[in-house]
Amino acid sequence: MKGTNLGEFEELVLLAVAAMQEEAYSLAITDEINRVTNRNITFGVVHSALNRMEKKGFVISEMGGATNERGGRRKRIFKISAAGKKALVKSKEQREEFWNMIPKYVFDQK
Amino acid sequence: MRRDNTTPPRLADRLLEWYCNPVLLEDLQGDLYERHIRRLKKYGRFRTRLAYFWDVLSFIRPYTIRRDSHRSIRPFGMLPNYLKTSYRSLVKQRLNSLINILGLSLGLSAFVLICLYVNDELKYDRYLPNAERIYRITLSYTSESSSEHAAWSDPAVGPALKLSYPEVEAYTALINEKILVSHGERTFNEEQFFFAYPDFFKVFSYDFEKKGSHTDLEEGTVVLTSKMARKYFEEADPIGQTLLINNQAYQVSGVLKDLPSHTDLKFDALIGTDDLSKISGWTFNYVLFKNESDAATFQPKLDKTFEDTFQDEFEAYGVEARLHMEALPDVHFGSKKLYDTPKSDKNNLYIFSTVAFLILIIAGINYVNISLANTARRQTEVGVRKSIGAYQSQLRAQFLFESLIVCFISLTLALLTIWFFLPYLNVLTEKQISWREIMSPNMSVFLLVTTIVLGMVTGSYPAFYLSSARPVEVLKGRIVLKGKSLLRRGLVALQFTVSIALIIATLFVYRQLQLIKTKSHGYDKDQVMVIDIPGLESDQSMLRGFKNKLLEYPFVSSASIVGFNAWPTADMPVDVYEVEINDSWQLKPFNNIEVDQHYFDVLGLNLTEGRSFNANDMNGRLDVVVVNQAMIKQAGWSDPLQQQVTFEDGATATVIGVVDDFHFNSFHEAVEPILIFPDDGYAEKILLKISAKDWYQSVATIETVWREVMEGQPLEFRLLDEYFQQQYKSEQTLRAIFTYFMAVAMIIACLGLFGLISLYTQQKLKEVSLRKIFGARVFQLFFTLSREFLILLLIAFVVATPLALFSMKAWLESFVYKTALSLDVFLIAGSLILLVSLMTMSFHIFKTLRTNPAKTLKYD
Repeated sequence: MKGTNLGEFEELVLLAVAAMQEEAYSLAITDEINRVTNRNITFGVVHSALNRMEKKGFVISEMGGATNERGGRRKRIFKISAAGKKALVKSKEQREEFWNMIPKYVFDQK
Repeated sequence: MRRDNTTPPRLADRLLEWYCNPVLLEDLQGDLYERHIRRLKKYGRFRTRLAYFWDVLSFIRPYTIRRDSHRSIRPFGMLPNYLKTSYRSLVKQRLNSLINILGLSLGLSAFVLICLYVNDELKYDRYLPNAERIYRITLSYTSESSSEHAAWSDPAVGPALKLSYPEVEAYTALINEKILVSHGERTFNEEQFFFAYPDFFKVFSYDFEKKGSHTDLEEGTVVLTSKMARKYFEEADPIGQTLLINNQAYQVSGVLKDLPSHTDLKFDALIGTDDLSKISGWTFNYVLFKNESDAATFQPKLDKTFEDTFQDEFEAYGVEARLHMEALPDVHFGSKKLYDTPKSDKNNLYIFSTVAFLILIIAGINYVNISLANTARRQTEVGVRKSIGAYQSQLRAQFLFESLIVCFISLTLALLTIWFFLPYLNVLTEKQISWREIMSPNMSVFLLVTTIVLGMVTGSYPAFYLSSARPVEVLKGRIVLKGKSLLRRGLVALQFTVSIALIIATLFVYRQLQLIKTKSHGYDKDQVMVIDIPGLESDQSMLRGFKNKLLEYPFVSSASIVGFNAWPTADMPVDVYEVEINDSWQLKPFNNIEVDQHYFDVLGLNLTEGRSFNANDMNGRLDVVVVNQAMIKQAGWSDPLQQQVTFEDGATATVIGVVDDFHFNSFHEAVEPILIFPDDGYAEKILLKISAKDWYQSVATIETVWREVMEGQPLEFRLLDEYFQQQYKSEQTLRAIFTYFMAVAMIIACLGLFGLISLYTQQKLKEVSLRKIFGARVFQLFFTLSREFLILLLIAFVVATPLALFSMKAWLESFVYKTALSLDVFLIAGSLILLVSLMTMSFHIFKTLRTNPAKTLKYD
């Protein structure tokens, strides 16, 4: 079904959410993705991806703590949902299947 | 939170708070703040703030935008549904929709036609780039007995002003004369060739089509309009060619694009001259100021120049005179002066605009009334919509949308109507308004705005009123909203007030024109030909020969050679004479004309005393004079035949006859004293009284004789009646437009009445049926049904009468002879509207009366 599919970029964001746990709010996730992938993804793109995935049910969110530099506004902390975990695992299995299919010599021949 | 340097820009914050969905707002704003602080550490304040703006703007995305809870997610909201329901309700109530659309489109088309007319009038002489800085210099003069204001003044005025005052950037003066123009084989009499000072184009910067090396209008050169260039040179290049004007050679130095139609100063060509006073002592004078503001303070300087240079001449004749200035764009609507260019009556514009607006209101009222009367039908729909969750604002939008649709359909129909009627308006008003004018940016925006406002205004009352129905009560079957009958009645009365007032006004305009047509002006204008005499080479003997030859034909009962502006309706020349007035000799300006001995026969003027001229008087000495009764009255002469009139140069003329007063000019003016001198030396026209029935044959014969005597010159003539009609042109236009307006207003009002009575009779169906069972007669029932409207009609009549009376009295002020504001006009208007409305109502009333009461009452 269209809409429940996990896109490439969404997978990346979802991985970050799962990895960051309590620190997973939009801005921090953007930073983390950019640090790991060494890309320059904008905040807006990550924000809208999170929003989209929440609608699809891959993440759930709850309001977290506020800090002074946020003007007293709370963070929205994202957590991976059961469906999200399932989608991630599925995606990982699909990839592993391909990995397994690759003959050994492909990587041995350097 | 305390605002300090670290807080993001407030405006951007507000924007974010305004558009952002509240669910997303808190953490998004928090994230942005955090980012802002982070950036602040890295970059400058300005750049950071700018970046914040960018962030806020880039977050305007479909998923972040706030949605009002009841607003639909669909891109056009409820619009498609409104369109569907509007269509359904229009179709369901065919008759009412038809009445609404017909009424509105009639009203709109009348309104737009008048807008086009007014728009065209307002364009006069404003198209020149410096029109606001151009002023015309006119001259007024007053003596004890009379006071005149002439459009002309001395051609020396311009040079004198330019010499003394630096704010005068340029001046020009111009005057036309009848001249003979020829190029090779082509020879024509021209009247619209103007002699002008060389700086003409500095003042009036007309567009050139072709230009020679000279930019000025130098002495000895002539500039033609495109039309004239084609007339004389056809396809050849006119620049540098020679035109013979009064047998003098002039070089064509340029060709102007044809003048726009929105000008009163219509010339065919301009002839350059350094000394206009050789041509005429009276010219149109124009000055161009350096700045627009110079004009405000210039009048004292104008007075000063007049005192220094011109006053002595006038004072010698006991005349007090003064120069005036008139802004070029104001000339078109200014008061008509002596020898003036064509004028337009601004009052007529006001009258037309008011009436057009009133008609639009009448049409709007129809819509309001019919929707109000229809309340009962629509309120069920409102109830159902509300109970499924429609908001009142949505219902309002729906009803407004519906009225906008009706208005736009009407606009389309109106545009078609205008397309059809515009040529007729052009004929009526002698204009060339193009259909494309409607598409001009100003006009089209104006039209759209008018239509939208009309839709909003007419739609708003029903919209607000209907949408207030309370669903519970409506659906229980109780009638909650009564059809607001007081308002409705008031509106109907208003419609009829306007209609009745228009009828009365139209009838009075008719009456006044009838008076003008039937009340004799004192001279015989029928079957009189006014033949143009070419300016040059038409000497006395030739003209006399022509006249005498014509008199041999039986169909020419008399003929007269007359001088400058000596035929009725023209502006008579005014000169100063010394006359004995109330036993003392005084210098005074008097109207004077020069005519030959047959003038009185041609015009059928009646001599009360003395004799008219004979052939011996036509010796050029001007030693006798005939005066009119008004002259005798003003001078207080007891024995007029002994009186003398002294010219400027001391020569005298004896009064030999007295002629009955006749209206040389229109009924707008009282009869003024006239001195009639015998002279055919400076002939301008020949008046011919024709008695033949076969008009065409006579004209053909006259033309043959003319060509024979005048060496092949073309015969150009008009009828005296044409001149006569011309002076009442403004009234005739007014009458025609009023007649149409009156008809349109009545049709619209009757359409409305027709719609209302159909709803009204339906409501009263049961009552009528019951009454019928109890034996009421048809006449009684008719009265029952029409009573309400007849009362409204009476009220409208009572209100309209004084309004019409008051405005017609003001209109008639401008006439010396007024038609009586007689009672019968009001009675005619009253009975006309009564008859028409009874006829309108009778269709539905009789339909109701014919219904079988058993059918209506079966279920009760």
